Formats: sequence, C-alpha cells, structure tokens
Amino acid sequence: MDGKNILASIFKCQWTSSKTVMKLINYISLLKEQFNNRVVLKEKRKGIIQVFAPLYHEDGDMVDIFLEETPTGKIRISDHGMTLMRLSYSFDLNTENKKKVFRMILEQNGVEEEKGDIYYEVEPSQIFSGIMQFSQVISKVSNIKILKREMIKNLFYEILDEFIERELRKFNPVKSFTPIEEETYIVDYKIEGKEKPLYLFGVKDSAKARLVTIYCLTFIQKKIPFRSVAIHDDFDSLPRKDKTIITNVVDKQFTSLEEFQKSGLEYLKREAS
Amino acid sequence: MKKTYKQDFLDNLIKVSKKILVPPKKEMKLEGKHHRNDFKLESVDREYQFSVFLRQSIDFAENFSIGLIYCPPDDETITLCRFNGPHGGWEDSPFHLVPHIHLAKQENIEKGLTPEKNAKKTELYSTFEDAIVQFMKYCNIIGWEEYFGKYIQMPMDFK
Repeated sequence: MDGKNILASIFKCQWTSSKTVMKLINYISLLKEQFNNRVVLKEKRKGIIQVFAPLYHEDGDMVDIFLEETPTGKIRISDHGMTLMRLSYSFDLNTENKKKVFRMILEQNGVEEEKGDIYYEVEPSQIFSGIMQFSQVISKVSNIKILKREMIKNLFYEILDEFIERELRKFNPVKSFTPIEEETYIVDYKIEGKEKPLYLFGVKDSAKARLVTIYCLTFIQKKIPFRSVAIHDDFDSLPRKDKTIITNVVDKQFTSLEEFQKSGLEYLKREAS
Repeated sequence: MKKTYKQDFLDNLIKVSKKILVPPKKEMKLEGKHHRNDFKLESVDREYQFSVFLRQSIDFAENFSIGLIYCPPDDETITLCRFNGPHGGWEDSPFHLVPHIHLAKQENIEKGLTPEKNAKKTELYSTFEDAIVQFMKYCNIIGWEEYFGKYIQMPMDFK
C-alpha cells in the first residue's frame, strides 16, 4: 500500500491527488486535534469531505457539514443545500417576510447562501470554531418555524402598516377603527369608499381569520354598510375550513402581502373615494 | 404541541387507507439544491388530512427523504414517518449511515420532542425510487401507481 493509501486508511477517506492529500491531511489533523479526536471525516465526493460529529438536528438527524478547499486556500464549510431541503419538509420560505428572517439569521452570523447552499469560509486555523459557528446557524435556520411565530407575526403587521401608511396615505386610512361601541371589534384600517367604507384587515393566521369572520358577520348583523378587504400573509397556509369560512364572508381578499403591495393601489383607485 | 396522541392512534394514522386529494406534480421540481414534490391526502372516511413530501438532494442522490405528515384541523402538524436515505451518523446513531425510517412516538410528543426523532435502519429500500414505492405501500395510499408507477421494479425471477 503506498503512502497516500496508508494515510487514506488512517483518516478513513480516499484522495484524488498528492497535493490535495498533503493539504487536506494538514487540515484534518488540525480539525481532529481541535475536536479532541472526536470527529470522523469521509470523502463524500471528489474534493468534498463530510464531517461526522455529534451535532444533531431536533429531528434526530445529524447536521450535514461538508468541507471543501477554495481557490484562495480557505476552507468552505457548507451544507450543500441540506438544511433548506430539510426545512422544506414542513415549512416553505415562500413569503418576503420569511425570507427576510432567513437572511437576517445568516447576516447576523456572517454566513452566506448561494442557490440554496449555506456556507461559511474560514482560514484553516479556524476550522473548529468555524464548524461550531456554522452548526449554530444551521440550528437557527432549521428552527426558523419557531422564530417565525414570534418574528414573522410582528413583521407581517409591521410591513403591512408601513405599506399602508407610506403608499396609501392619499386615501387617508384610519387605523384601528371601531365601527360599533364595543371596542373589541377593531378594523385594522378604514378607507372611505365610493359607495361604502372599506374595512381592511391584515390576516396572519387562523386566529385572525376567525376574528375577522366574526367581526364582519357582526357588522352585517348590525346593518353597518361596509366592504371588507382581507390581506393575508399566506392564504394557502390557512387550514381548509378557515379558508372556506373567510372566503364566504369577506368581500375581497389579497392572498399575500406581496399581492396587496402589487395590486392594492389599483384596487383602491377603483374602490376608494 | 398542545395535544398528546396515543401510539395506537399514530400507528393507525400511518396504516389507514388514504386517497389522493391534491395530486403530485408530474415531475420533481428543482428548488435550490434539491428536487421536491408534494401532494395532499385524506383518509377514505374523510376524517383525517395528510400531506406527503418527497425531497432529494441534487448533489448527493443518496440524501433523500419521503415523509407523511398528519394535518389536524386545530393543532400543529405531526410527521408520522420519514423514509430517509443514508446521510451520515455518529457512534450512537449508526443507522443514519444506512437507509432508515423515522416514526412518530407518543413519548416524544409527551416530552415535547420532535415526534419522529427516533429511527431504525431498514432494508425495505436502497434508492430514492425504491423508497417511493415502499413508502406508498407502507402508508396505504390508494392510486399512487398513477403518479409513481414508473418506479415499480418487476421482480427478476428466472424460475
């Protein structure tokens, strides 16, 4: 067995060239030493090393971490798209709000993303700390669904408010309007319409969808003239029953904030006074 | 996860006959660094709603996952089972180095853990295409052949 293969058997990997062998052996030695020899590395594909370390996702699978050398001699720590693939099992980054939170996590941690591949480039002397930092970011991204409940909920209403107050100011929107004495029946924005006032509601989730339905039915029962407009964060994400109920009650719906930002102005030009 | 679910109930959700409500796309769709497909199901008695996801990495064909998710009307979704390819494990989880199946457990839900955290190695399949066929049968999905019949391999029997 030649030297290259002996080393390959020690480090449990196969190599493709002697130059690569020597460089990567140095990096691997550094990493194993820094990890206190509790890490295994295997060549997943030509030039791509997979790191096997006790770093896990909440669903029990090991965190996918790969190492590759860059042309500048740095080490690229990446996931080869595995994190976003895993996230997509039950959560899609399909709205601007969600993408904003995702980008925020990466930016705050100095990590980058390219075509679904999350990566972090470090000097060889920083492989260990780089992997630790990287795995934390992967964990945060993987748990974006939890972050979403807190951050996205606020972001959606915040962005909607900003848009209405900046872009639709000429329609004189009245915020938190109460058409009846009971203050719990709050319309997010009232805009005077050509025929009837327009009541705009931001709908983030099931709970708000049901509230809007109750409000509108109450206003109808009390014979208040109005046209209801629902602006959803993500209409498709609502359970089927909630989608059906709100659709049967509300006069006009925008299925996403992006859709409202795109066509809300034109709609109000036609409907508002 | 507000509710708790008995193990029998979880196992039954996997086994109950299901029909396809919203069919899958004809071809897997490229998204970033993976291919994906999704479709929706309901139990034949229309009592339970489900979704299925299929994912495969474009860089590593052996990194794939096919999952059945239970979608209750008033609670968070639960991944009932996930058929995974080999993607790397550690000393205490060597089954991740081979094809393995994650199954939802009552005890995980009660402890607030990811329901399908545990997994066992399997010999039901070795490739993504094999896994699709086995998954459809395992989850008792009626009519799957119309969409995934091209993955059926006839047994080679020279007797």
